[in-house]
Amino acid sequence: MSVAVRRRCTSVLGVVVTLVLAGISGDAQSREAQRAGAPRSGALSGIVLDATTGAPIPSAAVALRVIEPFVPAGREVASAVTDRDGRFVFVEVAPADSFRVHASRPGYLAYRSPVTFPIEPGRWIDDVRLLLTPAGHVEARLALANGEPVLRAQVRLWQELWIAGQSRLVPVARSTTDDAGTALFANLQPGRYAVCLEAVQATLPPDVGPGFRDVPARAALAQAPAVDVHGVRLLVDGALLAPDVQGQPMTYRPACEPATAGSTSEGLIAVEPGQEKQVGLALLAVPGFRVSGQVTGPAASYAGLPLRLSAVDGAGSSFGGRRDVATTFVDARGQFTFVNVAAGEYLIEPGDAISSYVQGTAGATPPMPPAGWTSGSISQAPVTTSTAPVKLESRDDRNVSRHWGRTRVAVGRDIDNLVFRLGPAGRLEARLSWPERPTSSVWVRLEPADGDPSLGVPLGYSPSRKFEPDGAAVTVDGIRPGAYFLRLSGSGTSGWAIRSIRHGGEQLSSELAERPIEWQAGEDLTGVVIEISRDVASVSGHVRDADEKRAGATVIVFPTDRTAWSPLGLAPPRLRAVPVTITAQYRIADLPAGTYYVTAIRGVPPPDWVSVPVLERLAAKAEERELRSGAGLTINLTAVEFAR
Amino acid sequence: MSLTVYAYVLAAVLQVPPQATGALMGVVRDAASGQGVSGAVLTVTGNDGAVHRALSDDEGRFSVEPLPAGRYRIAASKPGYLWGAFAAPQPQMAGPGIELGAGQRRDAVDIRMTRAAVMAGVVRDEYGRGIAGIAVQAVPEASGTGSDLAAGAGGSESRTVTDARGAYRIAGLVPGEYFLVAEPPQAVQQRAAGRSDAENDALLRQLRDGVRDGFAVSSAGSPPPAPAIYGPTYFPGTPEPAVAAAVAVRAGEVRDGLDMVVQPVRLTRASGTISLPYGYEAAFVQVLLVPRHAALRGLAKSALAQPAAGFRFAFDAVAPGPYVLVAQGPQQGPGPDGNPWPLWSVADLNVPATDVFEFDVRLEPSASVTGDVRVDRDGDEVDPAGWTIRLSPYEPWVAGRLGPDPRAVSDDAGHFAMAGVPPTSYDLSVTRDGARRTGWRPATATWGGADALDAPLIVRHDPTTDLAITVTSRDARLIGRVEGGEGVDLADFHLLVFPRQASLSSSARRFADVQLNPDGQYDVRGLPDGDYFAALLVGPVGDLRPSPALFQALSPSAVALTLTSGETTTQNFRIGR
Repeated sequence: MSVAVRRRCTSVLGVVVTLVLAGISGDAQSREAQRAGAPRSGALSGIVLDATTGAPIPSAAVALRVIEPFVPAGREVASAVTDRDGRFVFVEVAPADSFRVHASRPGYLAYRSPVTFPIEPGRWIDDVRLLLTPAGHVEARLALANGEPVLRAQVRLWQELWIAGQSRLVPVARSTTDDAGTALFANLQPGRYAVCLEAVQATLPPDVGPGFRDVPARAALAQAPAVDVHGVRLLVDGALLAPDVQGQPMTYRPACEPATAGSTSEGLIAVEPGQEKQVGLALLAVPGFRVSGQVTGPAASYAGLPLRLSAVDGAGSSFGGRRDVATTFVDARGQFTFVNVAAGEYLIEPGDAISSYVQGTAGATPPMPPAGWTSGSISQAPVTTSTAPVKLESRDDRNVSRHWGRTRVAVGRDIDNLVFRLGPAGRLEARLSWPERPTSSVWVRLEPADGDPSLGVPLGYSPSRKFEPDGAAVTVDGIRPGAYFLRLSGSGTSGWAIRSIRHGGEQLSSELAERPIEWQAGEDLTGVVIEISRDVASVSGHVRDADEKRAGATVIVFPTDRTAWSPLGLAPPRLRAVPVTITAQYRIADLPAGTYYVTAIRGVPPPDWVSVPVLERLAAKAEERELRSGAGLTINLTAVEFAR
Repeated sequence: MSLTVYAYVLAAVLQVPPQATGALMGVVRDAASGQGVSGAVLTVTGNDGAVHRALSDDEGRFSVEPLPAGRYRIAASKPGYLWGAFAAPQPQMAGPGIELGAGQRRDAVDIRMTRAAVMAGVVRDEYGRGIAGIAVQAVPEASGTGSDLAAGAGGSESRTVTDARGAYRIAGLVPGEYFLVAEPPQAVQQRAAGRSDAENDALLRQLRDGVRDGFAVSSAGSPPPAPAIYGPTYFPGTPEPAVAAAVAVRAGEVRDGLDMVVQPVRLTRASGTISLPYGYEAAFVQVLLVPRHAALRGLAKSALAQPAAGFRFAFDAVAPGPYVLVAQGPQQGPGPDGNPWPLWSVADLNVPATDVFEFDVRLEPSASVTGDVRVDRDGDEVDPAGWTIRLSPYEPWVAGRLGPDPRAVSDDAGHFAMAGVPPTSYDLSVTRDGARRTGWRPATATWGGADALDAPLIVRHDPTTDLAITVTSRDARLIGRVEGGEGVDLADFHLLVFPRQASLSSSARRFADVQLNPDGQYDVRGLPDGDYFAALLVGPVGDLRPSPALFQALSPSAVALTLTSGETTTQNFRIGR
């Protein structure tokens, strides 16, 4: 009896597999298990190819990893090295629901299947094509005006990525120059980059105030090697300090290659697959000035507060991370001093609550302050952007920074008596009104509408134990002036959409919360009602390639309503790009009901796919479909070539 | 009222810190070109431990101020240079202190800095591709060759990792001769080989045909052991530490092009047979194969040899190179002391680069180490009883694999005995509670003409090791005075005493490093009898580890001496200009 049941299951399974694979690829092999005994294992085979030339790659390492609960990186169950024809074969694979395949070879970017896939008993997944992109490199050489190489200088690589529909430079790697003044940034994705010197002058006031040394990292700072300048301690370890000239304090002007990085995307360093670019960065020593002043605000908010001074890179700066020139601490009386500041325009902001984009795929060093600069006590979970492979990472010393300020200063001589005002940050008190009680805690977050990282992602949290049948209260603190989208996260919110956000009976955003909310400095909004619906749809299917070969493809779904294309915030629920599995399947869930464009393109989308002109071009190739709530729609697609 | 004001003023006067207007001023210069070195960090350390810092300006000039009166040392550092101290004989060595009076501004405190040397190159695989992530280390030639090199000496500053192109660059080196070692990490070691085209063809054919077996392609199912790995490689490109070539670098020199090819080494199947000594039996024998190379420690293997299989054992996939083999039979008893004695073999083993390697292991019964402690003259301060004799394995590879260290305590007659000692080499220690305080220490521990306090004790089952240990409280004392050197702080000088006989140069007890007192006097006690050299140095040996090479370098300028216990030898020095 049990044998018969089992046999029927496998035969049903075999039929499904045959159908799906036949629809995808002529080469796909799948056989039903033989009558005697059920199959106990599966198999996977394929070929590793150069993504640019299509040539097979021999001696690449291929690993099969099974993804288990609480082990997101997975456990390696089999590994192979490709043969001379680039082939690999895994046999006798114990079946499981979630596998990923990894492939790597020196000189190529490591590949990891973007979506997990199952291996079923008796099933052989054949002709998997893994495309490896040759890695690019950027080598930067730092030299003084006289040609002398600059050693042990910190340089940072920034990559142009499109976030919230805008071009932004995202810090992807940091490196230190060697004894020849060169720093290598290796294993780069094809793309456009800028290299900037990172010379942060860090100073400590002589009187750091009580409590400062209670934080071990700060106590270590207070003991760190320093020279006395203008009555403050200037840290020397790891700093790039310009020698005085004729008794005149000097500093290195903040330098980037290209010099216009941040203000225009013209002239960025374009790295093609496998290309190595060499760039030079000339450091110019210029007179350094002192910038000191007084913080006003409640004394409890400023004593021991870190302050940062960052270069203003012109209106509409596209730097998506910190560009600090100097850092200091406010002393117990509210006074602060930055030293060795080159002439130019700067912003002064608190350094205790900082946010920056970090690249999610390239193992970037988080662009956080030097060790010990924050007490590092609280670090928010990074917020993943859905339109680029980056996260917005925030760190906040005091959980929620209730005070905030920003002062612009033009430096051309020593400045004393500058006043830096700390004012209260904004606050949102709202009630979530839901159709049914969720199973786990709910987060409410304010995403900067245009992706400005300096706004951070203010978060509010509603713990599940405080849930009532029809809703829960939530508070978001530390809101800086700017435009935000209000969005929900947490596993309990799956299947939800925001229907409206109301304040005193008025819509705060538009219907379906598709417009951003403007926040004034220090503004408190109370009594807000966030109404939630279950009007979401899902779509799935498989993707056929025009040449019948199975290779990576991406399914892109976006609304036909062009007013929803900009601004976007970090994770717009209605614009999605989803890679297919290695068997060319896809599934997109939790789309707010509505009319969408649906299309599939070969490979990965261009980084600027969320920009209005590219969406317009994608729309021309896409199908228009109405997605209704509750319905799971199947749409099979043919991947098209979409060049930048 | 006026009294209060007066008290207040007095308090204010008392609170004024000691006058701090002194300064040390000078120029930092490149030792080769004589040009000023800009942007160097000057670190001034006072005798009280207070640290003051300054930067040299664009012409190398500096001024460290304000400094209260006191004694200071001053040193300069800058990336690309070896750190240098004022009036130091060599880079990276401390210089003499500087006396600074109250309010004194001392000029011409000039410091010469030597550019560091650089070694650079590319590490490639057998296809000529650069390999990323390979640890490359420059090991000073003086630290020895062969197995010492395999053990991985060298400081962290002389270690780097190849970049994505396989390139490495070791900067900041002290001029000298170095061995270069490329050490693939475990992830890279395994990447040497996979299935061949033919093997994959066969597998794919089996898959096409063999769905009927539910993919039970058992013959090919479990992947075969890797036939090769990328192992450690020594410049100019050999897996053999013994034939590594040293590379010399001068100050400021950039030696580029020191490329190495990391070749896959074929793995060997090493197998053998255990033979037991006559009359012994064992239920099983455990065999351990431990690579001597630190980077390969993860590849240690163990196997079991059983009588039913004729005591055969085998290790698959063994990388060629030096190993230590430890085989242990179970507790076998009883031995001469009535306790169970295990059977042992602890031996060096060099696995050759052949497909198959067959070798035999002969177990020996545990050994006994016996002996007597004798007091070198009659006295009531110490008796021969109560001394602890302890053996610790000489080779670090073996430590922890032989069980607890053998030890024994001497009886009233000074006799001691240790049973069940695994036969191998040991360091000997002879200690007694409070003995050091009363000046008693072991003088000699002779066996078969050698002294176990100077060289490892080699323990065998047959013949039994018999140690004659002499303890003494009579010191060989070396005293003297250093004169001359106007304006030089004699407390900055050290006297180094080391053995004249090269074979004793690794004996730690025959080495002394003492600081002169401010009058230039010194007093060295506790050295064993023998012939020595004595040399004067500025600053402690510090970074320069005592080594045969250091002793060789110092011996031409050293004075020869002979020390005898119970006698005081006087040796004076004079510092000339």
